[in-house]
Amino acid sequence: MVPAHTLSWIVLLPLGGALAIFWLPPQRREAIKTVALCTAALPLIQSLVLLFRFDAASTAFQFVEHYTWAPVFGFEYFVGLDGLSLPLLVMSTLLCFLALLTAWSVEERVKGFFALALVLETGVLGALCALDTALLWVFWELVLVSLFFMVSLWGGAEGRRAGRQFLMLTQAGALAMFLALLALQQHTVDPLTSGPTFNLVLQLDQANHDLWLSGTSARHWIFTGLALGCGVLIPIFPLHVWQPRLHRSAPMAVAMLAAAVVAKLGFYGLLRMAWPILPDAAAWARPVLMALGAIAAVYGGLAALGRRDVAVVLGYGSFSLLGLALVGVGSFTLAGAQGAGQLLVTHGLVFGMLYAAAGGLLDRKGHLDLERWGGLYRSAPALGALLTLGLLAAWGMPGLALYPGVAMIVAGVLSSHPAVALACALGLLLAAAWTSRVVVRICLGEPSEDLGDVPAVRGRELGVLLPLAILLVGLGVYPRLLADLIATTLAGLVRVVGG
Amino acid sequence: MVGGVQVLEVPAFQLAVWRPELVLAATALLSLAPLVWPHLRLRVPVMAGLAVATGLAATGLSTGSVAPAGPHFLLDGPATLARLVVVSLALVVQLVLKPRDDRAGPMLALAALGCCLLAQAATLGGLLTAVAVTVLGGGLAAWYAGQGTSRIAAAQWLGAGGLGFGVLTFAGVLWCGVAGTLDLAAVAPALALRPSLPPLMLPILLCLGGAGLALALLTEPDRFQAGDGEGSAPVLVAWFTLAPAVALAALLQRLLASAVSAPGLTVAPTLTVAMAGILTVGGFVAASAQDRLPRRLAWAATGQTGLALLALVAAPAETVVGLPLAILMAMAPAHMGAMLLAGAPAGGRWREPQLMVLSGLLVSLAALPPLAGWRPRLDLVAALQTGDQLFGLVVVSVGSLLALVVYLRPLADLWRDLPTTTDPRDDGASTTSWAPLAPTLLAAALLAGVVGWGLGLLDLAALLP
Repeated sequence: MVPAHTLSWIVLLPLGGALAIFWLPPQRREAIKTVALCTAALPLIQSLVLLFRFDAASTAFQFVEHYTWAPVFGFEYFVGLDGLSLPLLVMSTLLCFLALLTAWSVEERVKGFFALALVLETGVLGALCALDTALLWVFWELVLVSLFFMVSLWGGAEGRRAGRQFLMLTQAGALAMFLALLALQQHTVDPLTSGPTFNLVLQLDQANHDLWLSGTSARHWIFTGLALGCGVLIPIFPLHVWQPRLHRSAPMAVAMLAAAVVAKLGFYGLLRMAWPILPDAAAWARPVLMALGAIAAVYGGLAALGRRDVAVVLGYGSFSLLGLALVGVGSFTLAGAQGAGQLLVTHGLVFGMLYAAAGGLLDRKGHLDLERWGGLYRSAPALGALLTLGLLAAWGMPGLALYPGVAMIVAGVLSSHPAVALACALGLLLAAAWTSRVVVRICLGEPSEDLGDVPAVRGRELGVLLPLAILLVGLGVYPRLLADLIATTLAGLVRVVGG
Repeated sequence: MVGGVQVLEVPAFQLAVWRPELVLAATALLSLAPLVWPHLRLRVPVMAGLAVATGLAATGLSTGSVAPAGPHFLLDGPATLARLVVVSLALVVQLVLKPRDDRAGPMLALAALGCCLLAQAATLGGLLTAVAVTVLGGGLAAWYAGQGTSRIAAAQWLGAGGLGFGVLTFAGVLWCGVAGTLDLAAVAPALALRPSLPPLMLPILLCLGGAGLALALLTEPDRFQAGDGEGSAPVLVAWFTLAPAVALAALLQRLLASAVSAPGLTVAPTLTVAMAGILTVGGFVAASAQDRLPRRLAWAATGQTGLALLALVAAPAETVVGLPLAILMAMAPAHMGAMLLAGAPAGGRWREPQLMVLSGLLVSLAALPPLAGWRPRLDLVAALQTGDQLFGLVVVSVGSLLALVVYLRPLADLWRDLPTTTDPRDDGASTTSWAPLAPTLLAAALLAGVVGWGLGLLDLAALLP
């Protein structure tokens, strides 16, 4: 039996932690970090409890909490989890906790940084749990604003530009999504109040059974609004322009949150709202989305090959793999959808690990220039080994976490869209190339003379990297751990979307 | 029933409902006493008078109904809310005002009285009286409060206000003369019965538009916000910007409700949307070019007013709390609170608690959830969507994006420039002290209201009878 209001506790505890941090004096940095870490640990523990209590065979939403909030508004506090949101929730709580550990070396404005990180965590968790689209949008905005401040304030001069670019693009997308959600609200009737409602469950039901706006282009426009809002966050090519600058300027913990956690919100929005509510519009947009995913897979790989800054390389590598996920989602096949579902979770774990390792490199020498690193195997073999493991996973090596998802996506599109499958394969080839380049440059060879001694791996770094490494291997060897969780929900989604 | 509102035919009750206005009038009159008896100091009594007025305005709300207060004024639901906002914010200004001349406070009371009357104006006479009192009180308050540039701005206000009053008198007499009634609510339906009227309306509209343009050019918001380094002056002028707008929104809501019954006569939608677009985009673009926060906020208020103007076209007039009024009421406390803090950071340096409060207020002004600003914005977008007002939607979208830059970018800069300490021996007092107390506490109180409304804990419509 799960304690009452567990989901609300999971969502709101980080916010409570942020408020608690506010009252601490700013010079008590260790206390601030400890409070933040303990606060982030609680949702992680609770989400694991939910994981073990979850009924994977059911397609219904579980652990539901439903309260009226502003009835005149059609606005409710309605939260719940299913096979799609639960794995993402667990992944997000884990990565937020590990990101705070990674950020332990932050010494400037510690209070603000950790408070904002907790607020961002609240936004992410709330968006994943929300079953009221207005509530989802509120949490969505919380994420965007928190990330903007984290990039602007801790990213230096380039961070300011990156933050502005991020804010304008994501807010433009959020505005488009907002208009789409309003349109959905106005066409969904709450049977109890006979008024419009933001209730997602009712929208899922009425949009397809009552066929409102059928035969009109309105459904396409609404889908476009949702896709824009979600796409800019993923990011979908060519809406990705904010990403390289952000990864170059932001602290590694922030880049880790952006790539591994926040990007998944975009996919979640597509799978939770756009696809099931408007499956005909999704079918209409499928060729474009698959094409954009394929372009991202190739373009991201090529761009990653040509960069010197490890953070930017990882950013483009992440972008490339998320292009693959978009192809899988757009394929409307069971294999493609399940592959994408697995890829979303494992991508987060892989790139969480990679950014954390990059953070360790940055802490040691203050830069991430590939040309100036080398010999990590000699100087810090444990860190080098863990970094290599993460890079091999990012390549999609069999036996590691990313492989099952990637393989299913390629298999899912091979028969129906061979050109797209070819592009995906090319993207994987390029992934092998850029990951190999990073391993060779950083880990092999002799250490650069200007580097001097590189400290061995720290306990904190092991605390971040080792659990992720175990998960990468575990989910690679036994992918059913994840597949069984998401299978039922995604199968239902494919049935709705596939018609 | 009057205007759809239940009326109690009890003269004493009518007096009770009108008590805030009487208190304001009394304190304003008392302000003349120092001219005769120079030894009198009226600052404390004026503050007390405003405090009483606010308390009694709240008391009037809780009586369960409203009543006409004479033939020239009608106190309905929106006017009740507008009065509460106007007087409450006037009290806030009064508490932080450090004028060069004590007479600024009483003149502020006079201006508040004028705004309360403006919201309740039922006839042309009532409207002209209200405008005259507002302009006179506001101009004199600005004159007494500041010096140098502020006095120039005050003179501009009086001049432009006089011009506007003259045009309003001309247009009002003409309009009411043609309609055959001085009752403002009856003018619109009466005009609708005269199909030959439109040619006459055009010169009236042109005169009003020209007067409005002259007002905008003459008053020059940036001069108002110069403040001469006085921390209270920007707050005072922010009140003058917002209070009449809130009162006018309440008045227009009543008039529009009567116009709805006259389908041949509607608010000129194309012209209104165009003006709204110019105000919104122009205001926010001008704001984004400002370096100083008070000026940035002042120009941004112009942009917000444009959105309220857009709501005139978008929103149905039969709602209890009309959309233009809701937008202005959501904006007013946040704007005032931000001006309170922006006008005078402690010792020239920001403190963390101040920045925390300012952050909440600016996020609300940017219409980000879950603070007050986003709920009327959501209603506005929904109304524009329902009415297929595509240009209006574009204006709101562009305005919203510009607002993010206007409000969030300086916030990031302020946090970045906040003094940080790396010395473990530093006890942090320089960044966590609560001085200055009054503006921060007042702004925090305004923020609490903003948060409450945004989260749905405070329902304005429930305050109405």
